Amino acid sequence: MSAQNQTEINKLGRVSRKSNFVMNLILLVYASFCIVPLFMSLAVSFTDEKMLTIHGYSFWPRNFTTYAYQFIFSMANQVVNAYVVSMIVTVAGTILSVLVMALYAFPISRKDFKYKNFFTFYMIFTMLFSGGMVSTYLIGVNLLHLKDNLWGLIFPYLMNAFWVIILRTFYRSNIPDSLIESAKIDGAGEFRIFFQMIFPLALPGIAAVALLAMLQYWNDWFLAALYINNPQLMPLPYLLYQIQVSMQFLLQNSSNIGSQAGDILSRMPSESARMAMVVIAVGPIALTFPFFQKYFTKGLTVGAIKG
Amino acid sequence: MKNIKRIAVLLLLVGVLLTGTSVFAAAPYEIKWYFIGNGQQPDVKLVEDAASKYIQKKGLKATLKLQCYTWGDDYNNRMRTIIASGEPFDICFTSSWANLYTVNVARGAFLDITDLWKKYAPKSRAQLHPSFITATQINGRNYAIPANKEVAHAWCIMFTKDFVDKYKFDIQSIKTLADLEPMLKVIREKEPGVIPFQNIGGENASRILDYDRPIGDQNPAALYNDSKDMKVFNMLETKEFKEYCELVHKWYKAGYIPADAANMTNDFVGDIKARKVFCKIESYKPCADEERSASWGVPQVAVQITKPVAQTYDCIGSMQAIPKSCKNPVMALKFLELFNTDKYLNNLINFGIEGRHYVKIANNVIDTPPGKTAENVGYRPGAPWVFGNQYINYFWKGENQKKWELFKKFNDSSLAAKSQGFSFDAEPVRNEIASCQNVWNTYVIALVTGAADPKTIPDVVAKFKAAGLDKVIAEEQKQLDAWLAKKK
Amino acid sequence: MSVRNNLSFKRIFKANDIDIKPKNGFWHELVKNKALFLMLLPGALVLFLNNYLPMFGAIIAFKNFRFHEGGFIPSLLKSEWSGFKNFEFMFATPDAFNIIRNTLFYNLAFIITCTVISIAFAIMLNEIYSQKLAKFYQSAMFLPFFLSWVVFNYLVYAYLSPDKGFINMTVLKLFGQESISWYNEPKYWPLIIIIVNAWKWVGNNCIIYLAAIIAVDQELYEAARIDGANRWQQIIKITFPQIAPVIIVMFLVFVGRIFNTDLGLFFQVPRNAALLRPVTQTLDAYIYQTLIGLGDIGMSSAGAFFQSVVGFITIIAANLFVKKIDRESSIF
Repeated sequence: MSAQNQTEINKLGRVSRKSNFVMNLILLVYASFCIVPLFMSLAVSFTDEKMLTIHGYSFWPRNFTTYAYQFIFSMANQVVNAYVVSMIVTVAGTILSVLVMALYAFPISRKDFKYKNFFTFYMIFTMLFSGGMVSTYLIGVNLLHLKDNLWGLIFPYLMNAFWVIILRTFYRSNIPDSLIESAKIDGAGEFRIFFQMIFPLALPGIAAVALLAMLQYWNDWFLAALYINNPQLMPLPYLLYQIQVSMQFLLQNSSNIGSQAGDILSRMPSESARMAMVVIAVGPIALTFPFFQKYFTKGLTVGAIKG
Repeated sequence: MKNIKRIAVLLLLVGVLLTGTSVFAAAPYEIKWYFIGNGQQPDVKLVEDAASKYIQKKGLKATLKLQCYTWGDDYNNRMRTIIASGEPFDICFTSSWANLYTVNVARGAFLDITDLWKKYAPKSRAQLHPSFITATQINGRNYAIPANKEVAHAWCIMFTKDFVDKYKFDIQSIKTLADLEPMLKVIREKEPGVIPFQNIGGENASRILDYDRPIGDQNPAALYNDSKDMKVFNMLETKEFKEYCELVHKWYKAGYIPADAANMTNDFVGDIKARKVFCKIESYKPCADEERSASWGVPQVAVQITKPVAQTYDCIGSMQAIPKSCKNPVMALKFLELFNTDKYLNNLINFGIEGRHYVKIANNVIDTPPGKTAENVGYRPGAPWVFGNQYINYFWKGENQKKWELFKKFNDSSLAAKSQGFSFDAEPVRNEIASCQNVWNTYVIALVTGAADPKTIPDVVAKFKAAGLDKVIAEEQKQLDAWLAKKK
Repeated sequence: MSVRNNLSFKRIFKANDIDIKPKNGFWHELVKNKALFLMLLPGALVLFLNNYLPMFGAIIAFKNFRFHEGGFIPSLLKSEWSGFKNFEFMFATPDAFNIIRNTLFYNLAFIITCTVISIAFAIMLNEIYSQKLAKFYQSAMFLPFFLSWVVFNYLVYAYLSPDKGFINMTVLKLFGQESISWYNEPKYWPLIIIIVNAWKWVGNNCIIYLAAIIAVDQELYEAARIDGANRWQQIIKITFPQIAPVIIVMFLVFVGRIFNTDLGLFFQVPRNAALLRPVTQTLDAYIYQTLIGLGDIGMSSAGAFFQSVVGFITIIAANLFVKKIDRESSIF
């Protein structure tokens, strides 16, 4: 094969320059479509309220001001409270659910466990058929006492059949049976095998599932809408939703309003404060997500492709 | 299938494990009370503790737990799910406009207290105007205790006083809704960010049409409020409804009504408190503006624009019911008896703790503590008429102390609707009413808030016909005729 | 709708997994493997309480639910059976047709848009010269997946707000157009919903397809090159057939949930606007609104039960269908 022929063939290995340019353009447009809205909320949160009522939302803060943030931190109680609730729920929920799921996935990944099919079916069946939202809610309130209880925000998401399957696939494809066999011969108990061998080996898969669980807990508003009435127990997304439908939550505990009572010109920064709340809620995720993304891609990819 | 059998065995096993777990025993009984107001107050715990201590001193072995939800849809939605879920609680606010009395009774949610009331809360029964007791009966039974307050209502335009003063509007000259227009124009031009006319879903201005609607607020079957001919009709097909829609739609297009009015179904007080509202339609009674000013912390002035009318609607306008899920109805009733007759307890729950949430400036007159406002004082549920007995309440500073005399005059001057005392049994047309409610919430809200073009009224009427409104109207007419015949 | 949980199912449900005949009894096994059973216990308990108990509770749909003294269970037991009366309401409303049409229409639209866009982007990400740029695009696309629907509610509102939105106040003004009350105009919403859905999911699905593309055996391409196929021909002749199993699994997951919609997308994003309901009400939104807005347990649980049953039927049917075409890719 001549050298010229070889380069010809190599050339066939990539798209043309023109195609490359067009593709880059398309991807760039879409990528900005994904990021830009967040910049807008950032800009709005720093915009003067009066400018907002005149010019509307835009990508550049007119009359730059941090008043919205001052306002929010003056009603710190409610926001900090929601933050703490979200944190507790996310941390406790993620740890617990990952533990429950990782444990459940282990026996059903074991070829030598007789009831693996039964327990797999027991779990899969919940994916096929459900009692429905209403019945789940009634059982949750009446029998599980999830109402106005942090458990109500954690418990319903503890098991996700799909994620358990990801974990099981991960165990099966990354951990050779012989490893477990030999550990057993050495006299290690099942729990020790699980925590000392399986867990570290399956870490990428577990990390991916942990991330999914974390996102679910951090972003959830639905469970709060069903079970939480007490403002003290509202997680961040639900507080955000409440602020959308009602200004009441912005007003309570705010000392700013009090000091300016009677002065009709100094009104509360309701629009910019709402956007500032979005920034506060999204901030931690937007800052940390590139870090998570690495693990996520790794774990999920292995689970998906090898499966 | 073997798997199914095994699941069954496992379920049984777990079920057996679970049944052994729920044993409860608590010392004093906790009375849980849901009501509507300015939302849960930061200092509610203090008031609960003080009230618990007091009722124990009075011989009730109980503690009190208060839960307040905000105006608009919030209280409604919350109570629907709370009642639907069968959660145990003891007392809830119910009325003709929020947490609907008739609907809940029809579903069997409330306890029949006809006999218990006579036995355990006789004083709170005796102090009521007799029409309260009969008008709130359904098939001759009582399911709730009405608050002792006015028996009639009217409608008014409620203005934020600061704006009225600033532009020197002559509000007393206003006789109809249309007279507002020049003022709205001024506010729209000179006060960017202020809502000239607040007209949101559940609190919309179409209420000034003042029909009598025994089925409820989300159904267009209506009677004229003097109910002379006692004929049920579809309010959407009337001339005055069309005219009203045309007016508000014009305002909507001019920007006097905010563009998202139709989608604002919740809390409206937030905007008022934030001083972002110029005016809105409110229900009227003597001193309504003073009461609202104290509750919202923003001075208001009212202009009455309809005549006072007394309907069933007003008698069931504010009541406390005991749900079937209540574990100790006798205790709940005994508590309500004390609450309705004891001046200290009543004012404690209405206004909070003396010195902290209010200061006494005369015998019966109170004021916000110096340096505080309604917003940051810590306890201001803001609705004395929600609770029990208004006649033993303190007055706010600046409130007219002749209020109760004015109430009496107002009641006497009111026109008693011929249908007063009639209540509708929704059961035979339950499905149709639910369908109509869907149509109402989708299309009528847009019309009455001004968002939709009045040209679409015939389409909406057709949608109601498809949802079975004719059947509902016929049923209501039938029940009404039967009720009239029986009355005679 | 969740696609994040994709993976090939054939591994999970291998046909030979099913034929287990325990020679020793259950109790013997329980004692022998008590550690394994102990590991299963928390998860099994959660599933029982959270998923199986509500299945029994679904009988509410067939009862004329009335409150009785003594709480939920006595009320449930004492309420009269009403047959299919609760279901009548659902189909008696003029909306029933709308609701089911919306549910199916949106899901089909989502399957098509999400699959096509995600695969197209995955191929592009694989083809562009610069690895660094590819990484950057991927991260940016992935970001929306991390956000709550409530946040989407605000972001969409920032564009569409009638009096402050970017589109009305800046874009339309620029072109001298009149403002549009977005939240009162149902006709725009099918498109908005589809765009927002793609916005949230494309980045995530793209990663999965990209992983599948990267895993394709490079020798296949080389052989094609030697035969003189250009890159586009390679994509069509090699890449697509190779990632077909992943596409089929993703498709199955979608179809299995064709009667389910994400409440966040249909309730939060349109802000529950009344006038939009004819185009935003799907089964889930309807059930939620009937529960919250009417408080009628019978009717809403009838809706939920209907959803469960038709969902069950579709997933079984979809699986049978896939089995006919490609035995290997079916779920069970």
